[in-house]
Amino acid sequence: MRNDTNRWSPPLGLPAPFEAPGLSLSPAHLTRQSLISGPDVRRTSPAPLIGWPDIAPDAPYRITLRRDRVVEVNGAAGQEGWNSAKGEAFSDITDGWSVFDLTGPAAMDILKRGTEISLDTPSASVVRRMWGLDVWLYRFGHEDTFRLHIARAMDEALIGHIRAAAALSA
Amino acid sequence: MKRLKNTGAALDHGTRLSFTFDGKRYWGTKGDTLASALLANGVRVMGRSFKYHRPRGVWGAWVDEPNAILSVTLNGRELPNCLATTTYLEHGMEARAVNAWPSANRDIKGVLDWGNRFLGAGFYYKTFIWPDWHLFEPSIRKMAGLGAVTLDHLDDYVSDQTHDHCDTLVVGGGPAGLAAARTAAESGQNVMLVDDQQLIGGSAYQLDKIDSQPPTTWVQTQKTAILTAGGRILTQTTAYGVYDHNLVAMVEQGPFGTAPRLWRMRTDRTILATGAIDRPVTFTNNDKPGVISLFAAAEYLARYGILPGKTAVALANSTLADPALKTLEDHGTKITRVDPTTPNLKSRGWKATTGLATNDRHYPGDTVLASAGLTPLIHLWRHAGGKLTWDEPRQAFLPDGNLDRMQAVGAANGTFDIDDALTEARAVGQGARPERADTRHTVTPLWPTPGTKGRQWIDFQHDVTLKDIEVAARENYTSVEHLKRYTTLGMASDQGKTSNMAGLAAMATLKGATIPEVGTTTFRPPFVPIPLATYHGQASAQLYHPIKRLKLEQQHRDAGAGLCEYGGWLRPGWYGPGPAYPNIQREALMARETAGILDGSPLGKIEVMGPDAEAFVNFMFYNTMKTLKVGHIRYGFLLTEGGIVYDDGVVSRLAMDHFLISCSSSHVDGVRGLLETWRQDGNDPDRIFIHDLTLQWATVTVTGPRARDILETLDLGCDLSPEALPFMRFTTTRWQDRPMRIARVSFSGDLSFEMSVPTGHAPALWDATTAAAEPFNAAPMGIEAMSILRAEKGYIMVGKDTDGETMPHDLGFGAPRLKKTAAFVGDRSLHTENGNDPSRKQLVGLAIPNGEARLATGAHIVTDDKTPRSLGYVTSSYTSPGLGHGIALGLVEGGHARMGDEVAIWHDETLRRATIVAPCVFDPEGERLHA
Repeated sequence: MRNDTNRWSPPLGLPAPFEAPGLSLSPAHLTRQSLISGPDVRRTSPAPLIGWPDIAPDAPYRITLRRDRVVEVNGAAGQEGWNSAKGEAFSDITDGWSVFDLTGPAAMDILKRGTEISLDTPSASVVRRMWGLDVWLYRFGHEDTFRLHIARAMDEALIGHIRAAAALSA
Repeated sequence: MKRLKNTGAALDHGTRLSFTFDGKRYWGTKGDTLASALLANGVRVMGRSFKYHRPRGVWGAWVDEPNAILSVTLNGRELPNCLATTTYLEHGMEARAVNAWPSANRDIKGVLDWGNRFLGAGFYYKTFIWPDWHLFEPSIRKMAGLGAVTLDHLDDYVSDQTHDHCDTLVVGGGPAGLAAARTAAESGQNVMLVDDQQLIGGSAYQLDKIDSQPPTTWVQTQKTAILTAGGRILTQTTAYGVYDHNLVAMVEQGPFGTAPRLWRMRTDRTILATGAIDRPVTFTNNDKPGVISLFAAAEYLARYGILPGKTAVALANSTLADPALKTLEDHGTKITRVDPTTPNLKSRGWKATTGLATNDRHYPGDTVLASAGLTPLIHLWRHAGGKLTWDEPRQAFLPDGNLDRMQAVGAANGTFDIDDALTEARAVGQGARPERADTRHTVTPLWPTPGTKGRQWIDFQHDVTLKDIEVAARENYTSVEHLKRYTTLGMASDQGKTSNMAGLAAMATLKGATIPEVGTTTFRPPFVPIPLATYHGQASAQLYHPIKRLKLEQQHRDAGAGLCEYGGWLRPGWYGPGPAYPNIQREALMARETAGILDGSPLGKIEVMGPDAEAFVNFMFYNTMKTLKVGHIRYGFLLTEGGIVYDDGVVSRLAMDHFLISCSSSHVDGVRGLLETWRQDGNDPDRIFIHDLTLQWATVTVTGPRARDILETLDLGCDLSPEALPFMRFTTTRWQDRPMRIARVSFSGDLSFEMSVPTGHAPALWDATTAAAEPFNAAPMGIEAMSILRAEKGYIMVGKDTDGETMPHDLGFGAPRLKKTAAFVGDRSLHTENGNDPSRKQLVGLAIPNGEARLATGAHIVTDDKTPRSLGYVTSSYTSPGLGHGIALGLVEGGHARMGDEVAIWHDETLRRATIVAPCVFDPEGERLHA
């Protein structure tokens, strides 16, 4: 097998926020992400249900992936597996998904470089394909702060795309 | 040809710019294109033709230009094939004509024109067929083509890409486009107007007045109104293609040498105000420099203040030409009008025209102004699926009817009169359907006349003449699509903008058909040439196809891993410096003697939960899973509906309604999709849920005879004895206050434990495990060593030891096929005639004599006779350091019935012998596996 060690730069992650004119990308350190599936899962929690372009609060909330699947952010720990009383499947995914906050007046323009998106086009689901990567995208706290969840194994690619887009749009 | 003082709407007369063309220095004015600047300097010859190297000057003033193609260098950045008419002049530009040496004016290959009678359409196909086309191809290809790409790589030539949306996209900033955009914006629509020139206005500057205002004032008024109403205007932006769901692709040009920006514009509707282009008149030597489109000449005057000539001969078939001719006359050109239908018209002169001759007269002139009518630019209309209709009064194809989300206005819709165009555009801007008014102009049909003498050009850029069209017709290439490919008509970078109509009209005459009966070729994006960089944008290098990164990658790098791509992941192939092979052999031997530690994090971890989880997993797997007890693990296959092995893996039962499917690392996405598909089709999706937790859990595998000893030093808080945790069992515990799952499964055939923890805790587990292994002389190992171990045991890798026809009984797993009573995916296909064929390729081991080198993977097992036939092939082959000889697996026709047979192996001109044996050559009794 070909040795590709030097074809790929070591993963840098995002040890410090990435700053560009009108833009800041920083890791969001969440307490917990819980993947919850069930036929009534969008109706069984008092936590606010977030889609696009909703603004999530700085408190536990749920983002909708599809009609029978949500991710609860910073919610309570749960028992892994099937909860027959609630009719829900529960899994902790905190370690599987990296989360970043993209903020600033230029943030929306950067997002538009990766995906077809508009604040005028709402969606119940936060699932997006951005630069070919599957992300969950919504707003958090402020109108120009966008929160992105991405599969941990691909977070390096997302950071790279945002850096590249910021360089090109400068 | 001269520049008029203080004339030209596009020019900033106060700014002079220096540039060179073919090494000679010239001066231009800011706002000039390279073409207008050269014309202003009296340069007639701007290029050489593709095949005959004939001198060529400009025909058009914008994207329809077929001749003036230049290589341009600025600040050390060279771009090939720049159209002189659309490249804006910048100070310091160095331009060279393509396809000419040493210059366009004195091209050494101009002698090729003398051999023109031998170089007609089909010449290459007929002449170089014998003895072998490939003998001639290299030199012909070297001579062919326009321009050359520099070897310099422009690292920063990267296209910005963005997505956007608007209610109404108006393509074209001429009078009709501006009028439509203004009314649309003022009616509250989100409007974007795009125009491909720096200065919007289109042909407006050719007019005396618009709405009683000077053109410059009128354009500025419209622009201000659009912006005030909230509309957006993008200049130097070309809408080059229309795709599904109203996606319009647009490129926005920046300064010379920078990559254009790509806009993916989603529109609710698109208004085409793309205008029309002039058609050449077909007569002898109509390609001479100085023969120029009448409307292009008017545009050069209006935008760049250039008078095309002192004395001109005009050939025009339409009253549309009258105002343009009058304007040129008013500015000083002496014009003689000649009936364009006069027989045997011929341009005089060599490197520039000296006038026109007929049978009995000569009309002197330094310029021939030619116009055979206007062709609406309806490319985007056709991209969107719109039909065309032939309009006899206008002698043009026009948009037929309406598309739901696209309307054409102005000249693009055949509405050539300015007042009618403005009325139509304003109505469409407000949402009305366009209603084409009768034309007020008369157009006399003016098409090529086959059978006439002289070299008459149809396609300037690809050197296709009327004679070539006649040859194609004689040889029965009469379909326009065949005509195009046989003669290369319309296949150059201008895509036949000026030639297609003349070509198909000539073919219509030759066939005795009408023009609409002959029809057009297919219009495809892009409308203008687009750099490939535009399409990939920033997705290059490591962003082109990003690889999945392990949480432990830095640890592996620090340990000197050779990282390789396996199934989309960057994983350690081996550890240690130097060549890979000795490291791999060392690791495989170590794992057999003590233990190896593998980062198994990419292994699939897909959980199936819900009341119907048991039935669903049992349905999905070939092997019976409903009898699996909690805490137990079972190996199984996932099949396609055709019964073909899709993946293999192990299933752990975590609870009665909770299963964990551990599939192949590279098949996780596919397996998840397969499970989701079946969950939603034929099952109750409210009673089954699938969570892919592959990235949530990182896995560290310890395999080898000392594996248990190593784990026991980690203080895992659970009993690892064979009695408490036998082979194919599963347990959970907590380690360093985090959950841990331990599975007694093995891909090596040896005692193995797979420890999984939440990914964030993987570095701690890895460091602890490798440290614990050190006293046992155990260490990390890569995928390559594991591949040897699993092959020794006869364990397959799906996709490597299986192909697109392998069924599970071909691999020795025949029992479920015969005994499983519950329905499962692929069941029926396993019992077809094909499934029962005894000559199916089956998995076997291949033993070679001691001392021989290992077999080549992919080598064919062949019949041992005079006409060898392939019986199968080697799927995996390694040198086993533990066994001390080569081992191999293969798929062989009827292999299970050939045990002990000696077979021939053919590879790379060499025939070798091997014996068919059982796949497993390590611990066949399973004592080490169950230790």
